[in-house]
Amino acid sequence: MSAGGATTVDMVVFGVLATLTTFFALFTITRRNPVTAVMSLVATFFCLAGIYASLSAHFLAVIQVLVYAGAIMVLFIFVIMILNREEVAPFSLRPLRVLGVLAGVYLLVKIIDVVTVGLPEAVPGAAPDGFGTVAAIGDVLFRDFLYPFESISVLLLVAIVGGVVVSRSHQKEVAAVEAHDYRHQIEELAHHDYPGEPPAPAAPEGYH
Amino acid sequence: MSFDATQLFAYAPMLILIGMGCLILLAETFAQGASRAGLAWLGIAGCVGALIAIVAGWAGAAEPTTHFQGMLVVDRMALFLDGTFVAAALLTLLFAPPYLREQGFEFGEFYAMVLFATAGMVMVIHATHLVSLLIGIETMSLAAYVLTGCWRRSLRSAEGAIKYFLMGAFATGFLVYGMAMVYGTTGGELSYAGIASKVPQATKSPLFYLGEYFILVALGFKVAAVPFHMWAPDAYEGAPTPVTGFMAAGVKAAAFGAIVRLLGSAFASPLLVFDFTGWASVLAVLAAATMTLGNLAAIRQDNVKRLLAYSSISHAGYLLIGVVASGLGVASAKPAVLFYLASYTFTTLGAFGVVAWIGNRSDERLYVDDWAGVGTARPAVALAMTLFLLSLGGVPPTGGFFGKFYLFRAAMESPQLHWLVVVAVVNSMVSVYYYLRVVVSMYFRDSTRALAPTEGATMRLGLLLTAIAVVLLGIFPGTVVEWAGSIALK
Amino acid sequence: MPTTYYLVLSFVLFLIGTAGVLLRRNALIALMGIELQLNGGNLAMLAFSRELGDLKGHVFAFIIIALAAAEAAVGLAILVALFRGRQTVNLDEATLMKR
Repeated sequence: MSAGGATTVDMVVFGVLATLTTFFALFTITRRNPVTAVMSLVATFFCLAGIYASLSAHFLAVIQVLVYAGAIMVLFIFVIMILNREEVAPFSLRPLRVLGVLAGVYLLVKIIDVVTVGLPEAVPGAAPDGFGTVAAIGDVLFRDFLYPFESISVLLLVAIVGGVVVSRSHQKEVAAVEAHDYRHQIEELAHHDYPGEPPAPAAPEGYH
Repeated sequence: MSFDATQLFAYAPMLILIGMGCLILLAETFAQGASRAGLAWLGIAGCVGALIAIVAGWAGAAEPTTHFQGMLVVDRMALFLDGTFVAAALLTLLFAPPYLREQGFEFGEFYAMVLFATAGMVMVIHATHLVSLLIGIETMSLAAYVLTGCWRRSLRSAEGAIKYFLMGAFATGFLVYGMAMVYGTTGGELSYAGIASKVPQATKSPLFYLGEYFILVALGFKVAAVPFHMWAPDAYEGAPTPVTGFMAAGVKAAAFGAIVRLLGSAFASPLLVFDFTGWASVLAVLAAATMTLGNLAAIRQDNVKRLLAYSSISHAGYLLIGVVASGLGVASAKPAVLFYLASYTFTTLGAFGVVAWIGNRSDERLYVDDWAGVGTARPAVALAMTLFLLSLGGVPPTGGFFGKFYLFRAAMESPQLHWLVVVAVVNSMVSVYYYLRVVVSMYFRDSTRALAPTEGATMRLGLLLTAIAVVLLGIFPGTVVEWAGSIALK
Repeated sequence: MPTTYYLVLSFVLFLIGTAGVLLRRNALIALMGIELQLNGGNLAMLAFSRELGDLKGHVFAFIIIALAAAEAAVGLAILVALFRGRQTVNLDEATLMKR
């Protein structure tokens, strides 16, 4: 990459990737069918990975494809397979929310204005040696960011256990509660005196 | 850099909580039926252990010490709030087992999640780096989403959880984007101290303000301050009641702790506090809006759980006054906020504890009318509930009164905030009206149907402990403020 | 490429994500909107990181990807739970608790 200004190739690559990213992102949030939406999201992530690579973030680009476009999207697709429903009216255009988005668009215009005036148009100089490689990132991650690296394991544990806790079927619990009620009723019955009948044997264990 | 194992000792409370959570998860696989009750006791033991560790570390924390390359700090403020969080977790673990058994979804992961959420709160309050703040907030929030949604038989639980989750994750988006802006405009600083040192040059770029306010918006979501509060009533109503208490008390207190720390160090520069773009005026307006709207909505509620949810929104408003006063340089504001957080935590937990107590599986008794006759049927619980409600309303012999007293007195020291104190006092008086509605229903109306509350020894113990705490905070407020006041103010 | 271009793109992504969360009724798409928001943040982080020649931003982005995965797992689990009870993931239909 030349230091003085962006080369034409860079410009073209960025232009194509940025356009595609924006296009697919818009496609994601406007599609009625969730499967189309999630596929556009995957495409967005792939384009973003390309942009990351153009920022000398090669490791992050790989992670983006592996984790985002790979793992997270597979999770999405599985869930969509469970609950695939097309919507009748996909948009919820409440005035306050539309206003919020319009405010965001206004902010965008302002930011483009400010950013293009405030910051120099120059291309950042050549990246230091080894910038964005696994070795360099690993060095920072395991020295300065040791604590976040360790503590994020708690976060992941919470997510794993929590995902199971929330989504597992509750049939067993319902069965347990019903069995408890049933047992309770039988015990109550056992305390009643039935004329002419011997007291019911107290054997609640057999019932489920 | 060399890793020093003694650093770990300072974080014993966090490590005990996480370790005990993992132990519960392991024990869960072997527990069946009645032995599940033992899992809650494991959690309680963990909380007690963490409390002991906090007390043991108190003396050594007179001077703040930072660890892990400036990621975390140990100081008195952190330990004070740690104690509050752990006490909240302890009380939740006392309230929860009878409630879960009654509602038929007792499982060990619940207790582990409570401990992990508490560990997340501890991470938040010790954080002095945006990365450690983010991870703490996420750990706490993810555990809270799960706790909200884990009541699988209830449709409201899933609905509350999805709203809580979407709004919380939305806030995380803002948090992340804001952090990116701060990182770029400060020239690669992520630690609070580093950000504070680079503020003069960073403010040249408007993107820094964007980042600052995005971070504040995200924290506003977490404390349910007014424009960002819409998730709170549904999430609080949908969650299992002991969890509601835990969320309203612990999660809110942790987010406030983060706000106080962030605004007290990273964004403490006068360049950011004052003026039209300063956070002091913005937060002052939000404080007024939060308490007023929270109270107005609470008046209209007939559902006690929802009423308490809206009242907890209004309490966030009172707390914001303290945050603003502290930003305007009132030294007594920070201890006042911490005292308020402590008294509010116990009071809220107690109130939601009674709400959990009163219902049973077939009849939740959530409406004000359903509370009729509790005063004669169960005088002790009615007395406790009255105490909690009076404390929430800020009536004299309770911890809540002194919380408001210290807070408003601190705000009075700053002439710009007098109007806010007037608004707050009016709001407090209004709030007493709807709290008293419940009290009146309990004592002066005849019950319509027999009371069949969720009984449980641990629940009674929890209510007793909370009531004692609220009374003690009302009798010895000075001592607690002194503990809170020994916080090193930089 | 100048950093400003990347920043504008990152804000566009963030904004599209925000619009997705606010305007869509389908909770799944809202969740995708949140992913877009986080990616916007990541892109800004990496762009700044490149400009400053500082790798902290890369590590931050790395952590955010892990965090997004955790968030997606929990969020999708809650969605499944909601769907199981109500047969819908439409947020406007999930109104058991209005007023």
